[in-house]
Amino acid sequence: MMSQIRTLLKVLKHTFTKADTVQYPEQQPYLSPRYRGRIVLTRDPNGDERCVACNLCSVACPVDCIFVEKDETQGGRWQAKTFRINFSRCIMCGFCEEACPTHAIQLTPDFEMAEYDRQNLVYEKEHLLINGPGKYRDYNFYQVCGKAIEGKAKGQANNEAPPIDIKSLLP
Amino acid sequence: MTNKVTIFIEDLPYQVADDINLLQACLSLKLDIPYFCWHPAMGSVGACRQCAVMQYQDEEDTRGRLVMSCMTPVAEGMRISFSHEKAETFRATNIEAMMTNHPHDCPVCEEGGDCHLQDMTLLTGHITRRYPGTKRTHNNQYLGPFLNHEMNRCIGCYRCVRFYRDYCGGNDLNVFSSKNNIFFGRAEPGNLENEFSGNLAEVCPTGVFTDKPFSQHYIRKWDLQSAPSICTHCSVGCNTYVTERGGIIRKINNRYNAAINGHFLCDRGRFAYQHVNHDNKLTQIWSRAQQSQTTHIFDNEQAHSQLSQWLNETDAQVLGIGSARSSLENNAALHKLVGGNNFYAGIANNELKQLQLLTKTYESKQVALVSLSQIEQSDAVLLVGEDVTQTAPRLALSIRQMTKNAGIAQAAKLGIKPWQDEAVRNISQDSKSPLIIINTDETKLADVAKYNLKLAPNKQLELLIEIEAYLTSKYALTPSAETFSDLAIAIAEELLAANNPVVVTGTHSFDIALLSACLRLSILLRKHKNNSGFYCATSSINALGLSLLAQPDHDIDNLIHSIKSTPPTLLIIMETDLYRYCANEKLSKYLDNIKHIVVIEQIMNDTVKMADLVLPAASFAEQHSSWLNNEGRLQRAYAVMPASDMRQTPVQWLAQHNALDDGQNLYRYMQTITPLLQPIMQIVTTDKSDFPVARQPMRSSARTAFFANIDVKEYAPKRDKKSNLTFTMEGVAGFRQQTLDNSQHKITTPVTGVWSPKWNSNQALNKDLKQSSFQDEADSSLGADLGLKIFDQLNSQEFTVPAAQIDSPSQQLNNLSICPQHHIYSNDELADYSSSIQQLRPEPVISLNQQQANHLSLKSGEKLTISSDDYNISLPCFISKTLADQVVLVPFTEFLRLGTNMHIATKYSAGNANGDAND
Repeated sequence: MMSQIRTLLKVLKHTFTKADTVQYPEQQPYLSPRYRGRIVLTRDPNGDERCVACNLCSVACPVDCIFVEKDETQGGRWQAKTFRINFSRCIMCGFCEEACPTHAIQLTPDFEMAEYDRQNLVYEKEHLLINGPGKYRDYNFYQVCGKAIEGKAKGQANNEAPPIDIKSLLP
Repeated sequence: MTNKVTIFIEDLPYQVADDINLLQACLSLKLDIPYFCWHPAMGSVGACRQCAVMQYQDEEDTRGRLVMSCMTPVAEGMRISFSHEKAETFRATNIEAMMTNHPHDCPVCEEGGDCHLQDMTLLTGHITRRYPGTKRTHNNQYLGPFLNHEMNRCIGCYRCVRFYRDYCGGNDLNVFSSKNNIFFGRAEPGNLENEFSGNLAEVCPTGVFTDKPFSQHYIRKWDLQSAPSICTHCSVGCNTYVTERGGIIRKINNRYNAAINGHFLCDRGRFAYQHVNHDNKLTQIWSRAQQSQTTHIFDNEQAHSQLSQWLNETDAQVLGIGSARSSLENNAALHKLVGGNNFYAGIANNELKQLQLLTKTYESKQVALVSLSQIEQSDAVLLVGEDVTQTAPRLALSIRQMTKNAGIAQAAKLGIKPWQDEAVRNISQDSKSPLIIINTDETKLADVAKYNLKLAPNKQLELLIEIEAYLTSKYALTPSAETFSDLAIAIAEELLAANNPVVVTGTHSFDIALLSACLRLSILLRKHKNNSGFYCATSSINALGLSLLAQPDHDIDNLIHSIKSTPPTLLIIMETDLYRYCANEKLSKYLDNIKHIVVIEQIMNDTVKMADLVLPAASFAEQHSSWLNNEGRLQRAYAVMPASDMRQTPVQWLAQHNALDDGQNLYRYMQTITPLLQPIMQIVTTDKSDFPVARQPMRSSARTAFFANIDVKEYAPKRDKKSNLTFTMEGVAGFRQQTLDNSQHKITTPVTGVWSPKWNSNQALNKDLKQSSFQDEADSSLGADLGLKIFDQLNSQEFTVPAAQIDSPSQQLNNLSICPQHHIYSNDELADYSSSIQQLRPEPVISLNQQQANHLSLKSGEKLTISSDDYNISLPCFISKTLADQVVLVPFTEFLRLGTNMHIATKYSAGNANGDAND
């Protein structure tokens, strides 16, 4: 008897609590910056593409929906010739972001990607690339790695000694 | 014979072979011992200090001592600990020290995912860099079209120079500077000169040397679909893994075959695959309407009805040309369609004669055919008339290894094992097993040769006949009174002093007299030396196979002759570029007289342009095929990808018309052509297994995005109906095949790739090899894949090799011989389409020595014209210091086109040559 009354009271109390649901789409809920939504490709602080087509996002992807093909610029930078994400398969798990060694691939708080035609959910590189560094403002992969590219010769990366002169007789 | 000994690892007993080192023993037991500098083919030097284990004196010993397992021979009752804390710390600190200068660039390294250093670093547990100091850096060098150089990644294991200098005999790669600064590269940037430089990409445990063409269409190893295949660019028949993604061949990897290529491929084999990706490859059926002179694209049905219409014309006279670069199946299908009488081999007349002389002799079993590994183990080689470095490069590498056997034998007397590389080299110093080279020009094996004779072909023949006569008289009951030159006696004695001498020659001299002299010499030698062997390099992968199908004198020269007199109504040309063998104008004139020409070809060439119907043929990577290499070894290659667009194998194109469905009937028909092909059924049945086997590695990423740009719907992968290999990652993974092998379930197809848990690089192979020592291959666990030697399976037939006639050599013109000049990068037809190989192709020149040039009053660079009946070439001449006298070398491709009846047109008169040659 008591328990039934208690149940009734509880239900009654909930009638007056504030609703968790919002009037979407008129009302937009707050999504934190690290919400895992639509995937973007970012650029480094100099405005160059961060993605080096290393394929680690692709291999981390549990639904195999990322395809990357490598290309090399004249200056020696690795770049994606193709970067394709099949969002009709993507489960927004964020493994790709975790795997990315250059902070190129990032998930954003945008989830509104519905389409009438599934084919439109296939995003190519030009659809993914944005004009900014995203969440990580200062990271520049080529400053950390020892590969020489145009504008950064051997020995000019962080923590690198100048190149050895192998013809020197000095000890 | 090797014996087994018992060793105790962590107090557990294991049985291992007694002639190997501890590292190899542990690896064959599937233990994960990290190492860098050891290589099964190059032995141990103990340079990297990575394979340290604890060794104990006996059961009571608790302290133990640290030893390098690669430098420690296994011994009965030996006790070691791999996981002792001291050993583990030693290995971890060692790799941490090596990694202090590593450049943090795995994401932009072609080796990433296929990297021995990555695997070893993870094995030892080194994850974060603790060293705060700066990293040492190096500038890179340009090393030619095959390899990238990225010196920062170097860990200083010395494998590259040991391979390049000690194993391959190259001298333009070296190590410079000292201590932490050491640099592996060339003195000056430039093309690497050695023919085996591509192996550095596999030999280097990290990414210092990486495959440059691969980098241009790069795919990580975990996405590469791969299938066991056979290299089709020379007659040796090396085993390869062809890797593919999205219909593009990405890379060729070595596939270990103990009898042939072992661990290494030549650069032609490794980089010549680009014709499969070429822009000019044929993918459509083209038909030309005679009247309107227009070309149409046909579909399958139209093509077949057109073909059957032509085949069934009332007065149809059909000729077919088979191909030496096409598989046995394809040639047999064409053979059935046109009939044996009308089947012509797509090779020159003198070559077919040579090949049929070879098969006759092989059938008679008077010579023992040896494999490359047997050559490596032999102790004397007589190399006649063939520059093997250019025509069968992997053979040259084996011959080079042969010369080391004298030193290995010396070391063995002192109880030193062959894998103790440094010690063996110290003991052997300059002693080498005898290599005797008789050739027109100096070859790249000259540095290890004992005799290096540069003679004109007729002089070569004279010498061989003299050696033969010496051997005959030496073993005759009544020695003849003939006297012999010192040279002939010395060479003969050298061969007799050896335990298993091998005579190596080839068909590239196009000199049948020379070949029969070699055969006779080898037969004679075998009578006195039961272990002596014979090896003959032929021109193309399937040249020997083609010669089995073709009747005598059914070759290109005779074909053109017959077209000239009575043009057939239909000529079917399969994968042969006739313009390679015949001059332009002459051939076009004859071809114009033929009513219909059907060309089945992979790639656009001049012959295709003459066709009325072009059927696109599948490349070697798109078909299951059988190949017969020059030692009569029948091998099976598997398709790595489905044929693209309208491409089909010639077998499939002709199946509707020759009443051979694509299955067993074809192979039964092959058996009826020649009893030599009886064993082909055994090879083909290996395609049937109890389980499907995956071509793709377990982690094949991007499967739902790869084709999403075409259609987001995912279609079922294509199915391979002819073998148990799948075009997916479904099926038994390669590394599990061996564990599945038991009496109930059998997978007979070779493994599709090299991988082992925790070992992502090709070094995973060393965990599967169970060979007793790095020279004794008979015991290999992968022995099933060695192929079938068809000549071993037959009863011997009576045959006598005709005696060589000294006067017969072709191209003899007064005292001058015109010989073909071969080059590794310009000899092979399909390899020519590879852009990286094109870059290294030499400028065509006519070579002759100074004396000859004086006779012809030529200066270096001046043009010399050589003509045959209706073709002439005019090329600048190159004055060679090493060339034999009375020899003129013409580029091989031009030599083929010139035919047999050639002469020097300008600045040369017969009287002049006769007079001056005696100077």
